[in-house]
Amino acid sequence: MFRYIVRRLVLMVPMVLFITAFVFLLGQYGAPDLALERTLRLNNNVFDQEIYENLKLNMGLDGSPVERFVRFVGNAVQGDFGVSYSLPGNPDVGRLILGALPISLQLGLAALVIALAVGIPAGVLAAVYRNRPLDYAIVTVSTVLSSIPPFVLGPVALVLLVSTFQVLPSTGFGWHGLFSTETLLPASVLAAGPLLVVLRFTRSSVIDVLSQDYIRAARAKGLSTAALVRRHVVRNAMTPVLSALGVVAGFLLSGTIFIETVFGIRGFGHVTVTAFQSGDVNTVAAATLVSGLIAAIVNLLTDLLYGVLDPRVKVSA
Amino acid sequence: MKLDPASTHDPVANPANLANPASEDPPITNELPVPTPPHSLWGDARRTFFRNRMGVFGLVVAVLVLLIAITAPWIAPYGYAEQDWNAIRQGPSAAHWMGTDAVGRDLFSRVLMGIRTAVLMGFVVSLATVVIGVLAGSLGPLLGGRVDALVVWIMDGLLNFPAFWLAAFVAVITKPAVATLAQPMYEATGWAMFENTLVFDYLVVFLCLSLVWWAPLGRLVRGQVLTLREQEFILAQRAIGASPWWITTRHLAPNVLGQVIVQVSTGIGTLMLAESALSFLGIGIQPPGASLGNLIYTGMTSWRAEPHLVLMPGLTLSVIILAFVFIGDALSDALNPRVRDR
Repeated sequence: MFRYIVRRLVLMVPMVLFITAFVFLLGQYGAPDLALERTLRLNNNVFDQEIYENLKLNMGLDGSPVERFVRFVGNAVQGDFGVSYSLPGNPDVGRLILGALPISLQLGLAALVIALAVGIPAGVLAAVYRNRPLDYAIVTVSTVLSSIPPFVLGPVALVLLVSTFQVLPSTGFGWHGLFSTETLLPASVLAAGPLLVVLRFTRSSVIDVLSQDYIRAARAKGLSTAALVRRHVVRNAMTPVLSALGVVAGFLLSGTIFIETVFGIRGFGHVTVTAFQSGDVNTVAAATLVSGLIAAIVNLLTDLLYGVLDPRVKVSA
Repeated sequence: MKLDPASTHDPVANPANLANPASEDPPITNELPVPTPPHSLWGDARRTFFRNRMGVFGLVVAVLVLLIAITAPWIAPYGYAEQDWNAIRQGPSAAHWMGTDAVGRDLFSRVLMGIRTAVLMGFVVSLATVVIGVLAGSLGPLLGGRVDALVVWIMDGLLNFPAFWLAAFVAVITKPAVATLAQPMYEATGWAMFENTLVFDYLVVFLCLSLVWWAPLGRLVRGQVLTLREQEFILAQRAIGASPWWITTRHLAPNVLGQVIVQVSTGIGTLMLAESALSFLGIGIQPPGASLGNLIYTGMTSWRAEPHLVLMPGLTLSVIILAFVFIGDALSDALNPRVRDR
């Protein structure tokens, strides 16, 4: 088991490095010369070779792109992602991301809880009432809700719930902590996409379990449907649902970027979008590295959890 | 007498079969068998598809969207970048069906052109992903060795990373590169398109989506080719001396095609969504170019006062995405017999 984890972690490294290198090296080509811009700004729009060379050295812009990438990775391993040259005050990128990440993680966690708490019961209901009106209603409503892109669902929810019906407070922008009412709306909108994934996996898994012989035996001894589902179906159906968690994590990761833009939450997604819009190569490369690591770790955790919960799955080193 | 079926047909284990190999044939009679209508895969698929009401709804919307996309410049009542300073921030009216934005552009015309952008990207990028995906998925197993290992490695890397994130990163990163590359192209050809930043936007979106989006298709084709190659009917073809070309076109391609069609048709909707999403984040198509995503983003700045600026493009995009989701579901029911009962 331990060897398996180590092996996966080692295999993960070249993959994340490859993607970061791809983004970093492409970013060097045709990027605006930041040192030149700064030289002109410092020296009243007159070019000065000495200032330029010094700035290049200071900003880490000297050497070939490959050299710069090696240096970037070397520093990143030690937790130093450099500074952002397009944000006011040139903040440290590592600290910027580290400060924003907990907000996004909490938001994602809230959304995950909502998706599971609504998706699993709805999926079980749909499976038990398979091919009957209730099933169709559940599947259709959740398909519609989760197909609407988050950057449409968010504004629509804002217009309807805050503007028109005034169910929610109107000053709900920004981050007010995990357990505040303001978190409910962004987390629910974020949960809409993963909800369908959870629901579909639960439904088909419960349908599989319901066709098993031991369910017929349990029915034959006179168990009611409710007791049957509670005692025999749900627990056995949950293992396949776990394999949905990887997909769900992907949804959450790309979902936060829109939710944070729509609701003005200053999390990891917000930092990334700001970097996108200002073409800040350092922050974009760091964000690639961080999100690549998150994705890889989530994949590993899902596989491990799968092995723990279903003893038939053997992890081989 | 019921024996193991394997042994009844084995002349060594059951010598009776040697003397009379056709002993299990039905007795010959004068009656002709009642003819049943022929069932082809595609005929069955079509019937199943059209029995699905949601699928038909999706198809109708998709055809409508396609028509709008083709005719948008002619059916739009105003130019998509045409500004009317006497009609700023108006609500929906007879003259402006969806109202006007902050610089007096007609929202309805912009939504129509936004649909055109999304459809263009959806189809062109789909085509690119099919080419890359099918090539990568089939050449890997065919050539084997290092090439195969490299293709699998790249595919795994792309699949492990949320596709949209990667596309966004690549879009940000390639934008200056495309502009830098276009400069000498303009000097060499003198074509205005190499100077048009809107064309750059389209190129960047096309590049970043094509580079990232082919991986699932590649994996699908690769998996299919690998399993099909080992099956008896391919072995039988090889045994009777069929050429690799014949096997590929007559036996491999039709078997892979169904699933590729399902994946591509659902993929078009996702790609249209991805284009809008990139534009929403400000790294895809930028104003004054029309994209549903940037319409929503610009509309968001005044959602309290003018909710229609967000709602109209937003709902349009949602209906289109839903239509493609329904088509995808109906197609996978129709072409994938294994999940038909789900």
